[in-house]
Amino acid sequence: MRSQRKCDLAAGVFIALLGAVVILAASQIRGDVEERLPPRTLPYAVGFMTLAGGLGLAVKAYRFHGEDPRIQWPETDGWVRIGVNLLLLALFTAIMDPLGMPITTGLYVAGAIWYMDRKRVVAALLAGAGSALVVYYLFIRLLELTFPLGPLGRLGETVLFSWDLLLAGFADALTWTNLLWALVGCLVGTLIGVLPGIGPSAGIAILLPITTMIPPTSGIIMMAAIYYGAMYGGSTTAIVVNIPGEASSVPTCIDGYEMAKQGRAGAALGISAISSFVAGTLGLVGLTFFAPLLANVALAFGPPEYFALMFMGLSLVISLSGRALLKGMIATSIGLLASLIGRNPLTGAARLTFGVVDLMAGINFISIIIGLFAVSEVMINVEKAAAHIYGTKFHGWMPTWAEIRRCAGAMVRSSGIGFFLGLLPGCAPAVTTFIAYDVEKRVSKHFERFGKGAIEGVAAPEGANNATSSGGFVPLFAFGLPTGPALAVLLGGLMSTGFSRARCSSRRTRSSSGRSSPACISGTLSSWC
Amino acid sequence: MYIGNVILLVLNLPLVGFWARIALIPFPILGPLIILCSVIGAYSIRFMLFDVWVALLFGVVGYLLRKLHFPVAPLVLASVLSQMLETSLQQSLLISQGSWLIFFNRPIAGFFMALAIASIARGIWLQVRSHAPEVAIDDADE
Amino acid sequence: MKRTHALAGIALLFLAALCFGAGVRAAWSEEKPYPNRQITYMVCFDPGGQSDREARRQQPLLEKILGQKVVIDYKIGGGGALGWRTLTKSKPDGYTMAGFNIPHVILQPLQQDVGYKTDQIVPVFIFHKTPLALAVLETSPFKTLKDLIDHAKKNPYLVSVGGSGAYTGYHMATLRFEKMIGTKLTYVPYTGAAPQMTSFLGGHITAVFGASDDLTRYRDKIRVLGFATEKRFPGFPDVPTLKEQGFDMVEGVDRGIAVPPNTPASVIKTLESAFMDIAKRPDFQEEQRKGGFIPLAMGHEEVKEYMKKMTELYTELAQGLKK
Repeated sequence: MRSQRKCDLAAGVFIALLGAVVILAASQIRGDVEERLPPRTLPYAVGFMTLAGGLGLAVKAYRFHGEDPRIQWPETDGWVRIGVNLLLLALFTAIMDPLGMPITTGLYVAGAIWYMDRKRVVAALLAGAGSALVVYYLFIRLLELTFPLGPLGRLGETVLFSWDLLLAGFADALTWTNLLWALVGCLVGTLIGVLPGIGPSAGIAILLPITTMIPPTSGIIMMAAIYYGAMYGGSTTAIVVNIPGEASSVPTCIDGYEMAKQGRAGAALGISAISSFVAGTLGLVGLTFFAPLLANVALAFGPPEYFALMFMGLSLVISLSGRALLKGMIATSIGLLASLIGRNPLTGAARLTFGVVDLMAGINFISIIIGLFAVSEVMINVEKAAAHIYGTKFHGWMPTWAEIRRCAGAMVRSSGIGFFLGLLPGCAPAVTTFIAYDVEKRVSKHFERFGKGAIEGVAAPEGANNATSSGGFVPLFAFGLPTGPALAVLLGGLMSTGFSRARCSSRRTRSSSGRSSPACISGTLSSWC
Repeated sequence: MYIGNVILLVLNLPLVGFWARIALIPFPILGPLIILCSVIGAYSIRFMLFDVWVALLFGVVGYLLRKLHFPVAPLVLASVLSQMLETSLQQSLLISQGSWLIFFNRPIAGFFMALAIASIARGIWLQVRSHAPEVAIDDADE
Repeated sequence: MKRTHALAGIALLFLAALCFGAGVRAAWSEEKPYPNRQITYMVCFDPGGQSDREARRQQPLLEKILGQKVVIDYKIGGGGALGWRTLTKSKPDGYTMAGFNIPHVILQPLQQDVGYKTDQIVPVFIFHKTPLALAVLETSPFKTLKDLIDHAKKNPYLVSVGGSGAYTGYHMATLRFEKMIGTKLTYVPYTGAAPQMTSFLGGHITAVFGASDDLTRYRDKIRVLGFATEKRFPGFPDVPTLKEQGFDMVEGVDRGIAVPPNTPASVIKTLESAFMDIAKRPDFQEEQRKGGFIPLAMGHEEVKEYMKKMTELYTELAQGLKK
């Protein structure tokens, strides 16, 4: 099937069927129909949306008689390659539990590399052994993530060297410099951010015990550095390999990866760092001067405002699908469907689980992102038997001054958007980056460049990302209210060093007597340290 | 905290070269490593193998969607937003005792709803005007 | 070419040595007394929440007392249900334990199929309690509990009370209170204590049944109308209990540690005494009180009795509330 029209027709029919299945499943949902929002309503709504989208697409494709673009399906050997790789991945997942992570990792990496390129036996073995060791020592021993250990689980405390002693040694040697801890924090944070799925909140939670080994002020600085580092690491992979480190890096993928393919990865990474820096600065300025005013804005957002905001965010993104509005709508409904499966977040009632216990936990959006971007990107390259993910030579490591100036507007706008939206407790950073990207696309005079490597398309989400973190500190300092899990962990960490309680309460009592500004400035000045 | 920001800039600008080099690693080696990172990432969310299978499934879904020129961004945003969307919807209806007007009576909420409706209307208008096949403009694979 | 082959050979040898060492170690570690390897402490709620902060507070002390590494693992979902379900399916060898809440583990299986049953959760210790209290904002027109009740009676459903989750202690408290005053309120569930308090502080809901630690943190901005306790809460000595005002209601959340069913008694004893040591420390108790918690030190047998009592109570209540 090489024709776009026929494929659209087939896809439309399939999706319409999916919608019908959902509607059928929705009618099975038990629940109190007396409630204000009956449990069947949303599944029905999404089901109908899917059905309508699918039918609309099929009808439109059927009636279309214009120029028909071709779809590049792979050749037979491409299919085989994809198939084998998927099989290897499935085997990896299946064997991971019994054999343990390190061993399976080694086997998979060695096997997959050897399959992709028969000549690279040595590289395969080295990479296999290397990744197994890294998984074991870095993730299981140092970061203490509970991966299945398999037979190695009996290893207990016998390790060929002990991280505890090493770190204690570092702590002793380096107590004289806070800067170095910030450096370490940034590096580790970036590493965490680079891994898709482990976002800043998990990163901080994991590294918190290490920060307790060092003096408190350095600990705070290190935690902040980890947080910023993790946010930046996510954008690095988004630009270089089209894999967002976390949900908020997704818009960066769109133009960033395009730039990388044109050989301008350096410029993209550079503008990302610069934009983040500018946004961070503007954000801290906002924090210092406007914190008390803005904190009250944060509180003015109740459930109806959140709903309206999210709804707006969603409709902005759909409407920016350009001419493919129906497909955008279908994509949205698939996303909504995936999150409906599992339990109702408030009442805990199960729905759309078809009796499968595993589905009751619901589908986490990070796995969706990892699959949609990382895995599919690899599949696309596997199918082409690509030697490299892109072949162009680099054109320079940095963005040019002209480009930086062009992005100035984007940086300021996105900082503003990010800061204001970051204030709102519970507002995910992903939303702000999407909205910033969309706004930038709308106000730009050359919006057709977006999606093909427009540098403003990288500057905007990155700036918004960083500004959101700054904005998140407003309610944190004003009321001790964390706006998201990452900040909650940060708050926990800060409280364990005795910082937040004293500062928060002193500022609160002073602000309630009307002398808020000086107190806030003195409080936030300490955060500039 | 600001020091973290400065350090970020100072540290990462020189490292840009290093990060960009990652793309130069031959794909037969890079590919499995990326998959490894994905598996580690997917597993670390909730330490459940189920999430890794989901990632695999959506890898296939993503591949198909990209081949057929579907825009992927709305899917991502929808799955991120939906939990918050649903809980705020439920809570709002409880507070308003079932009235959907609550989203329009309040100034801030009304403002965002108006933006949303305007945006959808504009999108539909543009769609009706053009008669091209459903191809997403900002998708640029191969 | 020879060099890279040598490197590969060394790497493989290294790996083989590791596995061999693992085998030897496996034989050896089976004979050492419990605990002889790292212990996993499961936290069933989001990082940064009360359960998580509590766990991290206890972690270094536990490591010192037990002499082994204690690793904090998150299993978040279903209001704690995912973690507790995982606990009941884990090996009962004492190397996996989880933070648990009463009444959550009692109420959840009563309401729906959550994958575990209350008697599968074997309690080891309870270290603190947060009683619930009804509160309004300082700026609210309701100065006493009576004002609020009168208003609610005149406008059924108009008064919104926020709480964390559905079918949790907060929901129970609201339902019981509703029955006692004889008029309907609207319970608005939130996904956690933090969003509940944020929405409350923003004035979007009329009142909350809040936990004592949240209320302590925001004491300047709120007015507490009544505590659901037997005696007055030490952190708020001026606030009467609901009992004093004529409503016999005691409600709160107890937090503790549990292990999977069929865990050997010796293991439970070791864990229990470790937590007992921590709970008896005066600085630990002081920190709890400052945070708005009531420190407790209930051991295994005591908690089992307590849970039995509470299960009976809640089963009765749940029956009574099903109209």
